Amino acid sequence: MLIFENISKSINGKQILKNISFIVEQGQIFGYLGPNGAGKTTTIRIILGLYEQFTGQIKFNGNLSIKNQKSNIGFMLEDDGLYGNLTLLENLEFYAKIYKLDFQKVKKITDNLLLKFDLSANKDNKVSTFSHGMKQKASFVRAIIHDPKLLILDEPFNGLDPDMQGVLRDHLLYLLKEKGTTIFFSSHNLYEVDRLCDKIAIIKDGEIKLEEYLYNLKSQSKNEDYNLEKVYFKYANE
Amino acid sequence: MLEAIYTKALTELFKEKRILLVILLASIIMLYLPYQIFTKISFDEAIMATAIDFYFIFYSVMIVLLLAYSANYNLFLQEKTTKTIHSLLATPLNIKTIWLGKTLAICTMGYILSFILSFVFLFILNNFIVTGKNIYPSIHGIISLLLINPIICIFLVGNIGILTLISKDEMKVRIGFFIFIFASLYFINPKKVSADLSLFPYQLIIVLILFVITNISLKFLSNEKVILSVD
Repeated sequence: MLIFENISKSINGKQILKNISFIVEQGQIFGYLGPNGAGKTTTIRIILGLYEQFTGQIKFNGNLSIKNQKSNIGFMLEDDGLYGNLTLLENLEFYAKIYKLDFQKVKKITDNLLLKFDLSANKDNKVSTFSHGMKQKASFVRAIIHDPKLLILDEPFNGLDPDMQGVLRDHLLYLLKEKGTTIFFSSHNLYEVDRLCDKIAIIKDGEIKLEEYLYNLKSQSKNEDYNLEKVYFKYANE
Repeated sequence: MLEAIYTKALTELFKEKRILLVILLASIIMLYLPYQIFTKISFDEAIMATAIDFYFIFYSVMIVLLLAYSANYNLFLQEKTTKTIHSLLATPLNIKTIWLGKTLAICTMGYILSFILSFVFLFILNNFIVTGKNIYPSIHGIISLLLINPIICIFLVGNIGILTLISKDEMKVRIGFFIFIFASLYFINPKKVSADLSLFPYQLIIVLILFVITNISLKFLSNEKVILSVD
């Protein structure tokens, strides 16, 4: 479980997050929505320990220090984080070392993932030769190489063709159901959010405008056609 | 985890063509310059005996710094420009481990080169400049090369690394580093400084000062500082 409690963050005198709180439950897919500049990336950076100075507290699995639990967290950021001068396999091996994994032991799992995401033929190619979509897929494989308990994804569907969006969606559901992975993802893709998420939060101008289960939103709007887009615009334009 | 960073950085340096070019240039400069300086003073055997100590004590550090000037770009700056530093810092690695791994990699490569060139210079001195009698470095020269200089190099290269990581304007760091290297090459010459045992206390003071500066600089090095310097 990931608990965000009254988190505020200022950068260069500008308040980016204003006392935000939300709860991501164990084994849940949590959608984090908001317009550009709302504070989504700042929130993700705080979870991942990139920003260390903030007020409020974060608890992950009952522990106040995220720092000591980073090996349980997988992530996919805006930038793929892969080294262009290395091959895909070398990149994965490097990250495996960081997570203290024996790459030969995880190789079979990695090979299956590369096959699933249609990257097998390119595993020995330098990442600098990859298209944006390929980098996005490679970044996802890297994010789950150490079998994390919490997966933080920033715009994971960006740049993927419809086929691969489906593969990614299925894999996220597999991680959720088979491994109990908690997934937190920020996205502008409301269609995917609607299909995947159990719960969403909408952030605007550094404040959480809505935190709600999708089934509640659906049941609340039973008299009219449910539409996540409407809900989003209602809160994002508030 | 330090090993992962160190090995990757070292492999990257050995594979990089630009670094190999820098090695070649540094080798030419650091063999030709001392040769010119010493043969201009005198071909006297006593002068030449101090030349090798001078090389072991001073030029061995300069060689590492010349290499570090270029390697710093590959290892520290590129992590920022490609934003791979964001991903690295989101793993269990902390910024100080990343810094140390890369600093050690630069110093390892620099020191291998420095060792080779120091002994090449010794060979040139004995076979082409002074003939008849073999010239050897003093104990002080050897201790400097093996013990004191590696520490000085780690502190110097490390501080440049810290500055590159937290600075928003890397150009200023590069220019400052460039001036420092060439000012050192200009001012540290055998006419002004003698490479004998009297230098030893000064070397220790320099190590101590650099230790304090590095400790202070490390306090400024945090994940957040680095990330904010990229954005």
